[in-house]
Amino acid sequence: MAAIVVENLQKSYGDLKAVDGLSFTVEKGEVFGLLGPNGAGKTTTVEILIGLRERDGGGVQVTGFDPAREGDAVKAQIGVQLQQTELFPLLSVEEILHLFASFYRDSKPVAELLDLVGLQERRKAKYRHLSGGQKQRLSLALTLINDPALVFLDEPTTGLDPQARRALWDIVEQMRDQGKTVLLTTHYMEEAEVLCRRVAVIDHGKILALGTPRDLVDEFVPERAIEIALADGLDAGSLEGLSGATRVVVKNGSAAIYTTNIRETMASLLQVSGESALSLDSLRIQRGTLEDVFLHLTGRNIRE
Amino acid sequence: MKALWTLTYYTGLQFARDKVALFWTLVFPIVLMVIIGSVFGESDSASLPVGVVVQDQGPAGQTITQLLEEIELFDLTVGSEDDELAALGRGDRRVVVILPSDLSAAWQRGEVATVDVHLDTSQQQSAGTALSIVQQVIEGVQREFTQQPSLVTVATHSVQAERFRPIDYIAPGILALSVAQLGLFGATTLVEQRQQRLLRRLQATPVSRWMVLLSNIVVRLAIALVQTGILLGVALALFRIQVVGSWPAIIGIVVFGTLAFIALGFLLGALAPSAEALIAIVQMVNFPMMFLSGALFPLDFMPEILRPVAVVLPLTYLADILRQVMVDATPYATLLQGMGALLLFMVVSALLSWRFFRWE
Repeated sequence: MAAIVVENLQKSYGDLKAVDGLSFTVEKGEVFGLLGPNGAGKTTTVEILIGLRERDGGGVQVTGFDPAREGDAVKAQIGVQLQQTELFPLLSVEEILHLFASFYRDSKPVAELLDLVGLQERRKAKYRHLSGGQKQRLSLALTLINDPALVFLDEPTTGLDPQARRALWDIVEQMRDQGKTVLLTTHYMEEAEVLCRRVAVIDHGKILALGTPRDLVDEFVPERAIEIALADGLDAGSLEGLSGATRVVVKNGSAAIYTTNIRETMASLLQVSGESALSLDSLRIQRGTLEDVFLHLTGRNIRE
Repeated sequence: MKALWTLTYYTGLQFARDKVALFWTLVFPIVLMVIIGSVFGESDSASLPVGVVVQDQGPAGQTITQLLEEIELFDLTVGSEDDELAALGRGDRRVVVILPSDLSAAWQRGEVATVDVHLDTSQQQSAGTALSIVQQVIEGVQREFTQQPSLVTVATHSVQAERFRPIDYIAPGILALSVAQLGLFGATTLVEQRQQRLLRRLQATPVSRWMVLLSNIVVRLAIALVQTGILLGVALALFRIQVVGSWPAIIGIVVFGTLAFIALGFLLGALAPSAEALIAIVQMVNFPMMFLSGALFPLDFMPEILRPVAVVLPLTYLADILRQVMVDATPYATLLQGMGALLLFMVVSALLSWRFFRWE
């Protein structure tokens, strides 16, 4: 049985179709990403899945239950992190954990969770004195308090500095290693690439593409970029003629040769470099990213 | 149940850590009471108001009256029995001494005479002091006149004065006001939590809405009781107000009144888009209500045109019934009417707030 099944999910706010026929399945034990810009319908989808919002149409199953009709059964079995949530400012980290623990029939030991998210030393600190990253880590610890098999993370790293973001990724990876199913939403391409086994790219409430990050890149951005340094005065014109090259972009003293046939273009490049003074010392081959996938699918950048 | 208890405990703990809230709920009412009480309270001058009714036309009555007048501690008034007893009943005398018409004659015959002294037992200490001085004076005069001991009996009569010092009126009013304020601000925590999307986060756990509500109500009630204890303690110790009603009745009314105002507070919370807006709205309700209700001064003092306003303010009723039960003041409405009015406010507010309160 899949952890989450969504079929033709519909949700409108007035004239705005926030979720417009989403269908996807999240398998047990996978980290699944909903990737899209703000307003794409990710949060609405999550809120419907965790029983906080009614859907207009379509079918939803979360751990085998319908959150609209069996919300309590769903809530008891999942962990949830919501966007931009402030907790109790005057309570300490461990007090908040104890409080949330009381909401569930069984709960994990607070000390274990503090260790997991690295807040052991801050356990007596009041919530309002925590840094943004510490607040997010506490919020992750709360998602695990009932030891759920399924965890929802809505934009877990928005607004964090890169270091705090890495720390959070580590925690999500630990969740994955413990065999938990994670559904996370993000508009950070890198986050989706690092954490998610599969990704659904969403825009305007619709799924544009679904698959592993690698497959999505291969499918939608099959080009590879061969980057080489250009010595002074070297004419990049000769690169245009490389076999299989689709275009060449020169900037900052280096050239990127785009190709859909890496073998052919490399062979051709080796030949050219042997005949000329072209150095291949700093050569590297770049794959496309989910960023490129999104750009390809929508014609715009995700954070515009 | 574990969740309800834990929620209540931590909601209370947060309140106890909120220094601003503590000041406004526990310190401010006391400051208010002390200020108003000191302005209007009993002038604690050393003089004791004493009334003398001189029915004896002979020398004994004259001498006793003279001697009593010379006592610096006394603020002596000589008057008719009716006037003086009425003054005692109003609390304007500590004791009233009645020197009977046959006093001089009885002593001249060597017979025992009876002097009636009426005491205001609501001021036991000062009345007792006055009584013992009066007794000494009378017995002294009697010995001078008759050269014999024990020819006088002082018969004391206790009177419970229906005194209305302003503080007796104001103390229950301030208690009502504090309880009302506590209730009106009752939704601030919830509205803040809604604003910070914490209520939404709680909705994503199995904890139910009524538990969240109930924990807030229970904590408010507990604070109301602590507040009542402190306020009454100050009123009793500093201003010696006379509580005639039973404590269970007073506590019952405080609980009832707090619930009614919490319901009203939740309604305001349902209407306010943010915590800041809520505080502004509560103040807009609170300040006029403070002065337009009968909480701080009798409705008779109010201009005719404003009285209909007082009639529709819940605080008028809470102050009125508290005053009836605490100091047996002449009521504006009967206890049942007052409770009925509060119940109406409570039920209507509760229904409306349940209907309109947003959790996100």
